[in-house]
Amino acid sequence: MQLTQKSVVVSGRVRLARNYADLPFSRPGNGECAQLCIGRAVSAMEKACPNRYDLCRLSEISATDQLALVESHLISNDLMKNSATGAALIRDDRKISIMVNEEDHLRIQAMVDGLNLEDAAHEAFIAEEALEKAHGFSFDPQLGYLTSCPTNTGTGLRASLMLHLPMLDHFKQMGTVNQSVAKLGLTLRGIYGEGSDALGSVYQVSNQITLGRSEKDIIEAVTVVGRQLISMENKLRQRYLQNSATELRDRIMRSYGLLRYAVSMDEKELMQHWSHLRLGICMGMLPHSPEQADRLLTTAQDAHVKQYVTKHAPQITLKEGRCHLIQETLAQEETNPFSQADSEG
Amino acid sequence: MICDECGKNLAVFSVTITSGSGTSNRHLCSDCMKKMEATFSQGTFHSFLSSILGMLGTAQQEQDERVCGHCGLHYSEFERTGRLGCAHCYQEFANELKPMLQRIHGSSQHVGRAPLNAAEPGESSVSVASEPTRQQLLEQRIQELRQKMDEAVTAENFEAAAQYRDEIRALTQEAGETSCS
Ligand SMILES: [Zn+2]
Ligand SMILES: [Zn+2]
Repeated sequence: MQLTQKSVVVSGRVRLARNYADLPFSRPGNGECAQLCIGRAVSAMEKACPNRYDLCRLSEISATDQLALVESHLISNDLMKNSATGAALIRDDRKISIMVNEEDHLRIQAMVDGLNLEDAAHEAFIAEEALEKAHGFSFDPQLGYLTSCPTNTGTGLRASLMLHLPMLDHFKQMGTVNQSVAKLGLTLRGIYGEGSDALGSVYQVSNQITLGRSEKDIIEAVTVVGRQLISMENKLRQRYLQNSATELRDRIMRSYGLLRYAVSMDEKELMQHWSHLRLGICMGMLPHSPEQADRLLTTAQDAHVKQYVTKHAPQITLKEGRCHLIQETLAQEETNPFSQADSEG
Repeated sequence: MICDECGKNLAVFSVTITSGSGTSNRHLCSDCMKKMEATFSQGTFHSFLSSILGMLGTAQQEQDERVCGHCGLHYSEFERTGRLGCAHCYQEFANELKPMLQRIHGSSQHVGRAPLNAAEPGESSVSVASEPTRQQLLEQRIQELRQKMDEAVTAENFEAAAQYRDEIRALTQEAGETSCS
């Protein structure tokens, strides 16, 4: 068994907040301004990358389809709240999305599979330049990019890593980790679930500070902390495997059994077993790839399940549909990059 | 900064809560702030208010309401929503925002990327796409060097600070010449 970054990192993301210099900030009710922003963004991206970006106006799609975009991290909850004027330009590979009329006129976000936030930033800056060439952004030499909320002023950049940290959770390390992360001007929080329980042990580490630190420094800080968390998590996994191999295998296999054979399951239960599924894959115990688990993380969420049920089996419930979908996904075995080294088992 | 209460929204309020066991500092989003205000609205609200240090940066409740001359945003509306109305609000409410930014970010000087055509928020900015002017690049470089110099002085690394000072001098001269031409 070999543990790598991939065994912990689900995805990485860089987001830039930008506002057009000649327009007031987005405000619900200011439809004229909002339409202007959409028009500008569409024509700028069409000129820079013809036929690659698709415009999605939230007012033209159903609430379920909007929520599915949130689940895919292509739009934010806040954009959904502005569904009257909110829109997103989504690149065909779904690696870049430009939200229009969210808190700021533009929220450019680029996603990567691994730890490589520099790549994400590079992609985001290319899109940013294409947009800026058409219409300039609000900028102040002292305060940097001016944003609707002062928490984003400066670089307007938020770099984040989505990490799967089941062992840090299991050994109750998150409190301590949180404190040391906060000292570095970063924040760590659960992505799924309410309040303090992070469903599925999926966390996001990101920068809080956007003013007074360069883009490069911000990205480096998030990457360094990400690396540390990965190494802590991997060490705990190894320790757990050495000390309690049977217990670990039992937990993983029970969850795997439920995922493959249960008939009805809600989102909360899914997340608990999903966590064991991904852990089991990364410990080389299951015949799947981590990407398969990561895909399930999106496609087995409520809105995606609803889309699936509506299309394939309108007579069954969401909970049943979720199980269909999971089992369809897991019926396909995929090469597990973590299992080769583990030949003696 | 993420709200301590809901863990979802951005925190724009910093609240100091004084209780029998001591004081604690919490960062809240506008939604949770409203909720907290509501729970205190019966009777104890006034004493609660007095225990609030207030919105990040503002300690005093101002009687005369301040309004942005460009977009018409009332400062109290910003306090409520955490959202500014336009780029000019940063100047109009500079007295409140500068210390707030300092408290949120621990800095009030931008470092990093600048637009291709950096426009002052005070000027009416009709955006014309262009390469950054040499002048702008120079000014940006000088800003960066000033900050480095300050850091070097703070770290008592006077040799480095002197080097930065000389570099700034040279660039300032150059910038002066460019602006005349
Ligand atoms: Zn909140
Ligand atoms: Zn304003």
